[in-house]
Amino acid sequence: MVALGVTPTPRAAYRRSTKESAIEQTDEDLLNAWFCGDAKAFGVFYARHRGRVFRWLVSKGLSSGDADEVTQDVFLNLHARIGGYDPSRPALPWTFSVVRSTWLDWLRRESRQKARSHAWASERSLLGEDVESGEGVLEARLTGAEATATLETALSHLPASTRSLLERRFVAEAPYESIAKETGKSSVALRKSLERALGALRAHFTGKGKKA
Amino acid sequence: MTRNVDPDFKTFVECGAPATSMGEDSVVRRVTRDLVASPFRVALAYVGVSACGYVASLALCAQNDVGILPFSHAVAARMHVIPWPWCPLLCGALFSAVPALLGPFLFTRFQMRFLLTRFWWLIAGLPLLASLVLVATGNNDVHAWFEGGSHVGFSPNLWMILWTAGALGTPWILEGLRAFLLLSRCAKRSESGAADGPQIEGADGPRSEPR
Repeated sequence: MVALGVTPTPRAAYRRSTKESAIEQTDEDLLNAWFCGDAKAFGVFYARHRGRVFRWLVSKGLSSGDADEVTQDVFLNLHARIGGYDPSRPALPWTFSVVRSTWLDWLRRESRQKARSHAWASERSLLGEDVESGEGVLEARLTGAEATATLETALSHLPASTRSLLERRFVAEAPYESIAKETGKSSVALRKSLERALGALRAHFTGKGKKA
Repeated sequence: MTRNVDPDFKTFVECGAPATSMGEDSVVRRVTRDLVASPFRVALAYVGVSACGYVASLALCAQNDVGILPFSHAVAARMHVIPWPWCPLLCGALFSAVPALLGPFLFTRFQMRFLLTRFWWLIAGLPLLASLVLVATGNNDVHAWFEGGSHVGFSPNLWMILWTAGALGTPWILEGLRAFLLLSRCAKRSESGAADGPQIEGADGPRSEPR
């Protein structure tokens, strides 16, 4: 929904902001001038709040590198959302709401990436490949010989067609599309089958398979 | 009465001291590219783009016997078949609509906002200037349409008044509409709830003091 601008009007705010020297402007004036396209206002706002954003992110436990990356994202998000800033409200809380949502987005993205890399490491370890230590992957605790023996036993419990699928995908490293073409399955069904097979192998490694 | 302030926001406010220098961050470059660093340059670019727009318009349809291509005179002849009083209005509108429509393709919305807030007089004055130049350079007496043509019985002066109304009214209406859309604040933005304003308890504090 688009609503009419509330007081102060962008033009009035811009006029005021150009009359005063940039350094004397309030944050609200700077956001208004930024909204009206003034690069100088953005520069002053950035210089004024970059340190604050960075330090807050560090206080939330981010490393200096990550905090720097998120700080950059914060200002890009502010730029994208500047049209949503209501000039009748104070600037700092609005800025903080963008900082916090950017930080939360970053946390979500990071946790998704960690989950993906964890799953990838598990997959590799099931195939007897090297796994970096300290990742919390259960299979990494097995030595190479043990892993190979356990994997062979686990594979022998799987149907021949599933074993063949695993071989094609993880040994021959064939793409999903070509395996799907060969087997006449859809790509989605193939991914599901492989997922189930890996789940069965994982269960065997953790001992659940043996119990069942 | 003490207000319940979000502890995170309190920490944020206390994280205070501004950074001393801006550095050469990529975010500064990316954002500044959208904004206006040199008002003079952007105004000049606007004049240039508008001039190109008027030339393109005259290539599309001849006005006051000024046409860049033979094709433009053919289009003008076809335009004069349109019944009175739409012919002069459409001719004038076509003349000024092309440059007004070019802007959004060549300027970012921030640059357009800057032009609309700071150089509104340029945006309003250019169509006037272009119309005056065209009327001054064009041949206004060759309108055979008034002598046995489709506009027989109508005054050339009235034609000119209507043409000017079309030539000035179209860009002014278009730019006014653009100003309304660009300078309105979005009450709700789909990409983030944060844009609605702070949802922080105790955040309606005083506006920041000048530094």
